[in-house]
Amino acid sequence: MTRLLTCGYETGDINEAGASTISGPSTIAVVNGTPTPRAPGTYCLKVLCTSGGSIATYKTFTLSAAKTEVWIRFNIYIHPAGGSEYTIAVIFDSTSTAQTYIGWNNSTTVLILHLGSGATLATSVATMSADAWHLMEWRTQITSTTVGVSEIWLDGTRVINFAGDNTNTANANVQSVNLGFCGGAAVSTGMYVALDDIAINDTSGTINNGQISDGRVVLLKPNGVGTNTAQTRGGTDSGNNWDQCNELPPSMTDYVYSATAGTRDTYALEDMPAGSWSVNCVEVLAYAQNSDTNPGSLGLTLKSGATTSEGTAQALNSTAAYYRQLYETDPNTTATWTNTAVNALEAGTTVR
Amino acid sequence: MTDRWTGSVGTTVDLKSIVPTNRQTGLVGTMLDLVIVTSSTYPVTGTATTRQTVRLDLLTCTSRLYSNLETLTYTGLEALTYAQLEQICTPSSLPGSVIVATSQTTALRLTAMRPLTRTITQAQSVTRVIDRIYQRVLTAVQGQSVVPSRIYTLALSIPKNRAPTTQVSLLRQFSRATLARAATQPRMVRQISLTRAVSQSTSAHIAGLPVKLSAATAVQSRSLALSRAISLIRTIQQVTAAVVPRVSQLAPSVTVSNVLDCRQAVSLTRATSQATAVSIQASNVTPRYFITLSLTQGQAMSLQTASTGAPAKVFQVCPSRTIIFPMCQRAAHFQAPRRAVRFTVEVR
Repeated sequence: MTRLLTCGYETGDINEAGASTISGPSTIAVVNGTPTPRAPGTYCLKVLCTSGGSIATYKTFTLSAAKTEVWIRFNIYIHPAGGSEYTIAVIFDSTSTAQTYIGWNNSTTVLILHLGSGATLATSVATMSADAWHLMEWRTQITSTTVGVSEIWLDGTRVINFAGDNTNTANANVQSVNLGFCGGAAVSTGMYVALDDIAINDTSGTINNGQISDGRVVLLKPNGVGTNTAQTRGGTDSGNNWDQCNELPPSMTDYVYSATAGTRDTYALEDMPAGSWSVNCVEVLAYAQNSDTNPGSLGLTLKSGATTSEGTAQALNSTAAYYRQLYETDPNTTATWTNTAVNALEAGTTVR
Repeated sequence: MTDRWTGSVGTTVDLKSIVPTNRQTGLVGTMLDLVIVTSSTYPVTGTATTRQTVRLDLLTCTSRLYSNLETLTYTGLEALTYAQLEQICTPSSLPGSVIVATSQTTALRLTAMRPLTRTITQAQSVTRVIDRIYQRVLTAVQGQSVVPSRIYTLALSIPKNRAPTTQVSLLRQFSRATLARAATQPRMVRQISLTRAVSQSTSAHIAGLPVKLSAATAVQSRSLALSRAISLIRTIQQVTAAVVPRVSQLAPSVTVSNVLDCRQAVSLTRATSQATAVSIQASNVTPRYFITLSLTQGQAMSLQTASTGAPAKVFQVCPSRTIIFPMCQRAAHFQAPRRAVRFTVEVR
């Protein structure tokens, strides 16, 4: 598996991914306007300065293991107000110490790559305009504590290519990423930074192992009965199992449930949005919980063609949370996903 | 005596809740990371299937069948389809009997990848500073009427050596009419601003030049001689020999019709590949000739009539009969009452 994170906050829920840090007079939320999210998505992440001052509000995405090379893709929209250089992305080593970070100069609108210590490693010639969405891709390869490569692509064009020591610690690795307004001089009220379509790859495997390029993260919700309907409707009864599980933002006011291992629900899903797309990966997402503090698990299930694939059972908490199962290839063909296969997908859960 | 002291006794029990834990799912969905598929090329794919007529010319076939009963001779060129040839031939285990079936499948696939990007800047703003005194701003709005015309010709030829050559020729006609009027307004405010506005009545907006590749038609005619003479020699134990030399000719006719429509195109890259496969299958057969024997049996029919004279009818009724006619006495000329008259009738 090479895809480490896929998140566009299309659930409309700030808790969909990452840990939120709010420092200073600011908020972090998932919004569907101001700015307009990147279509066809309907939500994006937004850090807003609610009152003038120094803020550091961001999301932290922690990888499952330390990596020596990662590709980070995100789209960013900066509405500046005050301040000088905005720190918009930081990568940390396995001890949560900053290795490098990216700054955006509010005056010159160029991008600056800094070492975690603050030293400047490289500055772009190209500028990144304010009040517009921009695709940013950041490759960090740490070969050793003295040798590495840091490259930044802006809207598909490499604007920074640094080779040298890109470590700030004794650990030649990357394990977490901060995105948002991660620091900088005091900014004014109304400044906001929005993020959308976030993805992180490492370099292992045969697919999703390099630059991700421009794309969109979309969420396909249940829209019909699937092959399996064995679980029981709970909460507000919508009349069908599938429409107990399709509300956005997610809630547990209506849900399906079962305590019997093996009980399975799969639902038909919406089709992909119109446009010319190819599919990088498919990730089954479920918002679930246990009814009590006793143990219980769910296997996130996907049915592609005639093949039903159940992911490893994931233990649930007694509070609702998100659970994921990534499928980088179509289990029905073991090849990359086709749009037709995605449109024919069913997703659901199996009680374990 | 040693005492055993027990300070505490207990049992650790691993309890399992008998109250079932429900797994509750409030949302299920599939998260996709979609890549934008951008392409400045416009693939146009044409597929041409070659229809070929396989013609086997049976030049001469002379066979003498068993026991010298009949002799069948084909002479001259007779075009036979394979089906016809198969009809007159039947599989046999006779040594030396060979029939050749030739089939050829040719697929011509035309693929055109034509990225087209054209940018025409119409509005021009020219600023000149002359000796830092005169500043003339020239604003030109250029209207253009562009009439492009392109004719693509695709010619395919395949010589006998089966190495296809392709020629793509592009005839481009391009005419442009530009009218511009400029007005210059100089102003002297320490610097002289000379503004000239150029406008014209017509305006053209051409971001990309629409090009329609109307049709590329390739007519391929090929005469492919296999240069193979196939002799059918059948040896029969008796004094029978069959020699069937054949010459196979392939005369394919290819018609390729593509209508390529492109809104934006800059260059045309067309890859033409033609796969030609000729397979020859040989199977042992024995020519079977339908021989129609027409047997005419001559018959000599003679009608003879023997006549011994005047036909006679002989009725043998009785050897003799005596008939007595009573005579009227009034007949004067038979004045022989009660005379007996005898008539004898003979039938033969």
